[in-house]
Amino acid sequence: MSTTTLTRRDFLKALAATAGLAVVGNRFVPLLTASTATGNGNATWIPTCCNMCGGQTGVLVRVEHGRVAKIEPNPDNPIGVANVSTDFWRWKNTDGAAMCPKGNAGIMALYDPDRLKTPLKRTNPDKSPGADPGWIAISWEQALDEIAARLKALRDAGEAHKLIWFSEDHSFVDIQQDFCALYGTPNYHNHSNLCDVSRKASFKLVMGDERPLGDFANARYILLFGWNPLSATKWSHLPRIFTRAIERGAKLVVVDPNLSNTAARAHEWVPIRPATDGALALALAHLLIKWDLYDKDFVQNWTVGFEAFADYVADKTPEWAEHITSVPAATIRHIARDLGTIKPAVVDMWSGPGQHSNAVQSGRAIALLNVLLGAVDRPGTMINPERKGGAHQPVKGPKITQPRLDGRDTLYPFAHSSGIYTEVLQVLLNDGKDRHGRELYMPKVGVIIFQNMAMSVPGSSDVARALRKLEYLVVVDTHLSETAQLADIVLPGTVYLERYDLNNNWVTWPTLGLRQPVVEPIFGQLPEYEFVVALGRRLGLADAEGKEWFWLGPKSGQRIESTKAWYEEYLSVQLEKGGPAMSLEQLKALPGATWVDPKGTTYEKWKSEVRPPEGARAYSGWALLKSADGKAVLGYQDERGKAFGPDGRPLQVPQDAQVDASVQQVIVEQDGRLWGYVDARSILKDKNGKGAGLLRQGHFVKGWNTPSRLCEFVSEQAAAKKDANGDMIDALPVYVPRDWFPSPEYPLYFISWKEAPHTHTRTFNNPYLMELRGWNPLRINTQTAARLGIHTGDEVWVESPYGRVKAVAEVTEGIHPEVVGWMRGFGHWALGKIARGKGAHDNVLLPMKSDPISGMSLNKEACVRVYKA
Amino acid sequence: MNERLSPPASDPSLSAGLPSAGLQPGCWQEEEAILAWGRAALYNFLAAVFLEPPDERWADSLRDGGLAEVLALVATADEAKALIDRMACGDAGGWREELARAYTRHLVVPGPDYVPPYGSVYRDGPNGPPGTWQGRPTLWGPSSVAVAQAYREAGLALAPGGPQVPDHIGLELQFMQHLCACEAGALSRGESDAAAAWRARQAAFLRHHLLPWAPAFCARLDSEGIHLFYRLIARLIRAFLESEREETEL
Repeated sequence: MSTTTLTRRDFLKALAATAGLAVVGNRFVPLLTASTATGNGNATWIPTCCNMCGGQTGVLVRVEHGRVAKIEPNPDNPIGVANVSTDFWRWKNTDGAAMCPKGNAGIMALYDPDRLKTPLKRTNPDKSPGADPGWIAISWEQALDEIAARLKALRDAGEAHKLIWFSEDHSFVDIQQDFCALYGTPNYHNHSNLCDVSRKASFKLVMGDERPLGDFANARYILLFGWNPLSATKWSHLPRIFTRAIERGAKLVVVDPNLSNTAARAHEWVPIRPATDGALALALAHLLIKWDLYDKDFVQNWTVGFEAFADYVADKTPEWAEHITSVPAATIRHIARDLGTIKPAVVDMWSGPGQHSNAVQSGRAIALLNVLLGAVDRPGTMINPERKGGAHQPVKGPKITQPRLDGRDTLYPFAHSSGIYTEVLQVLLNDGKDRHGRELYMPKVGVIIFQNMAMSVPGSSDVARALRKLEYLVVVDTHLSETAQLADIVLPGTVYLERYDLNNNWVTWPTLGLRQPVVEPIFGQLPEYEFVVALGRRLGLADAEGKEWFWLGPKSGQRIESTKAWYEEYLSVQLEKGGPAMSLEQLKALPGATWVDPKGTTYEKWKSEVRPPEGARAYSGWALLKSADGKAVLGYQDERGKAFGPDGRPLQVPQDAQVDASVQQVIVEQDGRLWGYVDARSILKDKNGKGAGLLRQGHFVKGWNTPSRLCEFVSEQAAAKKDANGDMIDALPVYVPRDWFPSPEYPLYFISWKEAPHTHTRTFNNPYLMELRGWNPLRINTQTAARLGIHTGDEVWVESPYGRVKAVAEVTEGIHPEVVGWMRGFGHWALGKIARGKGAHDNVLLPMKSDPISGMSLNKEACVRVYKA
Repeated sequence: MNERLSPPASDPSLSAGLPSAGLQPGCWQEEEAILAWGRAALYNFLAAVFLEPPDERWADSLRDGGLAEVLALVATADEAKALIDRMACGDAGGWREELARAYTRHLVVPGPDYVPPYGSVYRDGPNGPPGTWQGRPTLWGPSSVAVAQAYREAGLALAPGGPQVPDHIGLELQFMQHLCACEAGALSRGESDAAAAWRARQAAFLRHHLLPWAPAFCARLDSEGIHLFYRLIARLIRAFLESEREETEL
């Protein structure tokens, strides 16, 4: 090895050539004596919340000399402790909090050398697979200027609605929503429709609650359909509360085609044919009713439609279900026996039944088992959580006349607010027409933040094709993901340890955990929310009052230079107007930076009384005034026909107003202000026409947020609607087979699932987590494998009509003979050095489709053939 | 050793040319001061090469001027010819974009031709001490903390809003520029003891922080698949640092 040494003469030559050439922005500043936490040598523990997945477990992070040294769970945050308050307040002291392997691996995510560090601009317009994007590093100024210029041009041309925006569903969602509202596009979407929106729709239809939570710790019998809470944790309290239940003698039964980690801990694993869970649930209902093992009092007084339901399930015998589900009739019988006699019992489900085309109706049947048993909002049962975290104050922007592209408000009757990814992507593929051929408009610009749609949405080849059709795509991510490869500009994002969020916890009573930066963004990058604010400033976005909304502090109303300080005020307002009722600084000072409502979990909230305010009076014989379309309440009319607005002042009644004289009562406060009314069906509604309770024996009880204010076996609101395919929805939770059945050509069901070491497609460049789980073998039943001549370790092709993937086989008794499957998220072709080429990617095997009622992406609906490679 | 001087990091005299404050021309201190300023200037340039995408001026200087001669010091005849030929075909804009792409591919975007410019990847990664981050190249390892400590002892912190990872090659080179500039300032004021202290800091930083990994980084950067410009820069740095080691240990 030869090393040239430079002489002094060489130096002077080099100096002459280079002096004056290079001026580097000042990277150093004088060290101040009163330095920041990163400057001093003392170690500190800073409370924040994990975001290795959407669980938001409370953590304590040790920072030494400006570097994250260790992450521990935070016992002051209930997420890692328990989901009912009584358990939380005991166990936080006796057991502390838990954190999953992903949380422990957070340091590796923060300091991953494969992270994106600066904004990048594409120089090669060719976005075809394998093309080198020709990235060049640009400054943040340049990136923001260019993106702002693009968005300005779009808006100035009257095409603001042609911006489509996608984000994750927990982090800095509100600011992105506000940006889209002010910019003038209706097309904001987030991740939930890839996750559990079918479960949300099912529970909403049954008990008016998108996400009830099981009090498993205190249950004595737990029946789970297609859920792996002991491994696919999300909430770190889950493994503990199931374990506690079992320790106390509870029986756990898991229905799942795969012997998951949870099924392995259960007393019984019930392998089932995929997407037939609804039939099993109906057969269980049949038996509970036949054997009189249901809660008659609850059903009689707190539900609607039981007779019709009982009629419907009268012939849904265990034999009928066995034929559909492959679960033996004898098994169905003993499950029903236990379910009906061991109390309290609780039944739950997640994405197992949830990601097939029949998800919503199946989910209703499963959810209704709780209703039949009276296992609703009682200890050890399915609780209706009270949540009152940060209160987003949505901004009022310009009126948006263009419709959403994804059919959320037009095609999918019980879609989640997050929208339908597959639908809007389809519009891109169809050059501006929806999947039924209706003309909408063609989106032009896309912004994707903290999502890897090119890999996470079923039908990945179609997804990439769709995204390529955008004229301009901006992606914000921590890594150069498969989606970032398709971008025109990529911006480096933050790892959760570098940013703020407010986490409204998923437990049964109100609590909120603060996520706050424990270190400044290590590449000096703008956190995603500051990028949004900076963009909004450059665009000069104004609210409906004409105020430059992103410049004026949401609390102080003063101009704030720092985007960070502006966002801190934004968060403060949410906290002050929400459950915590305190500022951001006050929240930071709470133990573990977590607000916990001392009221705790309450039960049987449906029985609680709803009282009009002191001095209010109820009037019969009065009428309600509504807008022409019947949607808005304009005011009320007394017995003389005099009209008043909701504020109690005399009202000039519009010509086309509707007069509703069928109302039983109009309830008016002392000063004449409208408080609410009771409609013809004894439903108490608030002054905006929103359901608030039920009139029972002279007083109001809360009930649930269903149209009848009761738990609904029969859903009138479902029956009134058509699904996205144009079919009527059955009022009953009927069993409808899913669309795609095995055929001679594709004889096996293909499913996928989640496990503890990984999240979505996110964690596969993390060396700790890849050490725990570095591959996703294809699990295949012993008999099936024998028939196909496959052994463990063999390379096999997994092929569907949409694509094929190579995998490594794992022969096991632990999967249904008609089913093959693997853990999701593997098979990266980008993201980073560690991730690339590991394992098999599943979404190429699937079509880009969602369930027609809730818009849930059909991640598990595929049939394949498997053969040796 | 822990003396904290206010840093002349953006000393305008650095780019304006050579100083001559209050010294007799021709005296050895002036020569030493000139040399220190020279070293500082060269460190400044090398830092710039890594801290930012190619600047227009030096991209152009490569094409039209003196910089090419400097690189020729470390290039073989074939390489020098290849570089000149490469720059000659096409226009200035195309050359600048080519350099920008090379910079991004080799120093910014993880990929097959990426050479991570962070000390801890080499020091605390596969070659690092057992029981720490061994086998897992990572940013901000224990060695990075020590680098940040060295900055603090010299009275510097990293500018907020900029990159915070302390052991980026560009930052370490920038730091050496600072230490040399401080030495030069001390020399030009006749403060020999202070100058010696700065020189000692330079020796320590080179020995404890730059030299343990920069040669390995340069070796990776000077390999097949890397753009010739960066290969030559890698060689220049390696040669320069070797001279620096000798220079500061005298």
